[in-house]
Amino acid sequence: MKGSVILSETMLETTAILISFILIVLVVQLVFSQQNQRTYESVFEALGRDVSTSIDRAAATAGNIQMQIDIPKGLRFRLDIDQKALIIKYGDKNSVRTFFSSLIKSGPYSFENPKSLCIVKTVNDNSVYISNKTCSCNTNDNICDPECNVENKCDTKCVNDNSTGVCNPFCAKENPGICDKNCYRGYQTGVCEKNCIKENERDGICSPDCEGLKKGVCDLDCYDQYPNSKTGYCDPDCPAKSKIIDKDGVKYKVQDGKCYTGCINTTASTPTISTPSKITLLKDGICDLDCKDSKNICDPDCPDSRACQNVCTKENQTGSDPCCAGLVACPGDNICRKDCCGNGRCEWRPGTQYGWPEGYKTKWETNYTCPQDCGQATQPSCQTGGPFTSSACYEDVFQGGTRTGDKPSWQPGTISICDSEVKKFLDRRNWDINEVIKTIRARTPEGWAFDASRYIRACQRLQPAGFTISANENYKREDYTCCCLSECPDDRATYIGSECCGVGYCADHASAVLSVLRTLGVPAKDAYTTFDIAGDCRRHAFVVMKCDPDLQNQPGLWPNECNGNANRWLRLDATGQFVTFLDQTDCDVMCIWWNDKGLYALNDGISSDGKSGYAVPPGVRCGGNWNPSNSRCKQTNVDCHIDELCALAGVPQGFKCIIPGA
Amino acid sequence: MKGQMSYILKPISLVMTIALLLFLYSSISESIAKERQASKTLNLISTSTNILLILANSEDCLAYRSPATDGLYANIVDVTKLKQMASDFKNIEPPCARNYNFGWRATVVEINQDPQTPSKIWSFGAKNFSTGPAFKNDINTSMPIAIRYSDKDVIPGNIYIYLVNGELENIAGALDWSCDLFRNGRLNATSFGIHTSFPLSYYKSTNELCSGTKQKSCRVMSCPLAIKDIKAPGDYVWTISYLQGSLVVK
Repeated sequence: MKGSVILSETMLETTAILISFILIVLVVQLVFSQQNQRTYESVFEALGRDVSTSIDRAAATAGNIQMQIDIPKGLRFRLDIDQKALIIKYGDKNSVRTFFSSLIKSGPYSFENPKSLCIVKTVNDNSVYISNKTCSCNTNDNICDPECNVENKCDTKCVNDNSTGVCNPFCAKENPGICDKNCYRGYQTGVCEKNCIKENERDGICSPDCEGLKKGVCDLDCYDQYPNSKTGYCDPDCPAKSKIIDKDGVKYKVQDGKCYTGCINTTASTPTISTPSKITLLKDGICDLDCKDSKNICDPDCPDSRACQNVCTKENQTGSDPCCAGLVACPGDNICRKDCCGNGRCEWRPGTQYGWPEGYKTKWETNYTCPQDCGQATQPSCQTGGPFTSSACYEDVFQGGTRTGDKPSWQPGTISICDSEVKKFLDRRNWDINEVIKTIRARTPEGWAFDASRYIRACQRLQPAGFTISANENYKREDYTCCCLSECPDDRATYIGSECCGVGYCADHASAVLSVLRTLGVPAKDAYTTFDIAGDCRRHAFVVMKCDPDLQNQPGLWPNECNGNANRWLRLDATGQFVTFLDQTDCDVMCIWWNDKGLYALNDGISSDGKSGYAVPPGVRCGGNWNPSNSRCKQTNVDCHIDELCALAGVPQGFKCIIPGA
Repeated sequence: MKGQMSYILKPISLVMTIALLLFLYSSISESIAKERQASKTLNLISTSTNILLILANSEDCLAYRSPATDGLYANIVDVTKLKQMASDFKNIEPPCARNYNFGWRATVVEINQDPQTPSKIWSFGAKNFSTGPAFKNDINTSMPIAIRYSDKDVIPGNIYIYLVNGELENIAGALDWSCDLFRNGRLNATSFGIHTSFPLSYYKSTNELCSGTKQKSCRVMSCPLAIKDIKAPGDYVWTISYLQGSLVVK
């Protein structure tokens, strides 16, 4: 009995040990098998990521490049590369898929247990080639190596090699008589394979590499592809010689219904108001009767081409195209005239009925410029402005070679109230402040352009308002930034030339806008020029105008923006091409306000020496870092030069003072 | 007494051993999960950098090819290509730099030295991305480039990319990839599994696949789809075939 208990205990113990052993083995096996699978998976994921990244990096290289990836030993897998995806198949049914981002333009590829991968980018045909070998250019084996492109060598095995499709441009140079179909594609390969083009044969390929090149044979595929006014690749050998006949000393192409315009003279094809919207073919000695006069195409080789002549240059003639050379096609009736005023149609600004196209500001017809067409209006009287004609430009102040602040440099003769050019400007805008604001807001050519070359000795060259206005009225270009001087300090100037001369920069624009407002009749107490100076020499001039309730009932003086905003100040910025409320814009240091009456007197916060205080009217607000206190000026080292200017303590010589409320 | 101790200690030690093993197993699983997450983040960073480089340096994308030298210059983009790309790919990634795993939108900004002149901006790529539980991770990165207007006019700029990994991007990417393979005649039929945290619906008129309930995120597809809406979140296996230019999804 006692023995049976011991036996039972021993059996139980053995069973327990067995069960625990089995459980431990099972758990350990589970952990190991999962780890094993995970390790394999992570190895192939990392490999896939490496290969994908290498393909993308090769494709993103601006020149030729080759990259070699050595595969870790012992890995058995199949690698498939196709359409931006890389699939690694391993084990029985396991696979890892990775996407890459570039277009490789070769493949698909399939490699079984590769030991190395060579990735080659060839810039001539903009392709990436992948092979399962170490990177090397071997010209003696029977394999085409794209690596030879990288090493600037010809691998003759690449010529017409279907398996890789590599176009080696060095072989084309070494074997000029051979047609290498790998280099003859519908996309650029860097080689014009003229040997592949056969007379009177079509193969579906018009090679862009042959564009504009004389080869002695017309590629019919290019000839077919770009007829009938479509622009495309130019094959100067087309039409084919066999299609040319000689008649009365003129060479004609036999009519086949195709007007080949692949070689059009694109410089002449842009329609403008003064030039016809026609296509002009390059002169090639052959008159194409399919082109002649069809769709207004001018073939200069055709002796009697009507499209090559200016057909509507005669005065008082209506043209379907506005092609009045030396005249203007009036937008109201499309009749070519020297002057459109008097034709019974009020031809005003772009966007209105019969409006002129952009850039024709000097021809706008209004009640003042053309009463015959637009109706009579009484010419507003123009009050003479104040005696102060100077405008400021800020200059650096240096002490011991270090810039310590800014100081205004004054130049007389810039503010011009009731100047003839200012009056003409207002005539074209019906003496209406809202039309003036439209111009300030407009993009070029209607808005004002910016002459970047004004930054050269800017403060010595501030110009009269009438000059700035006239130059901008005559400016017809869309280029906002331009340069009058060939020594152009701004790379963004998209036009350098005489039309830019006089259009001005911010200080010129501000004087001109102030002159316009004052000529229009805005009181001196409500319109000023000012200069905002940021700490790092970012100076900018603009005009401010008060929404004075006194102006509300005066015709042409109340901006729409002022409705419901009485007593707020507007910022009119012709350089920035915007008009908005001053308190909604950012200022930094705005120390002086001035107009034709002089400088605005200091008011609140005047110091005991009378040399500092608020230089702006009470209640003015501006956004950004601006603080009207004089301490702000001191903090930023801006020398307001109040002692030179206009403190209530006294009026310095040569300056007038505007008393608040005057 | 010794026997009684043995009866208690042995099961306890057995349980303790198994508990220890389970703890070890869960620790390993946790570290594997962390490693996977780190790997995904690394993959996102690597992909965004690659796409920026491809956009700037691949002739298929924005790189300027000089007709004089017939070559490319690193990180100089052609403003004509840029304008064309911004016009053609307003709401989908251009094929030259599309990655079927992710969705992205790129923005090119000109660096303007004159504060008066507004900076020129061009933008292209996907407009909507996965949100909520369907969103996995994202990255914002940028690279300096030069924008070429003419030989004399090359302006500095930056190219920014916002790259997103999410369920909608994965599903739409797999469908678009299949579409491209079908179009090239490299696939007859395929099947793959998807997971979605939101219902999916397809709008034929705009060719958009949308994910979400009230606020939907939508992606324009490469191929039209013949697909029934998926009304509940979950895991699905799709069989894809190609019929008359459309993907038939079952």
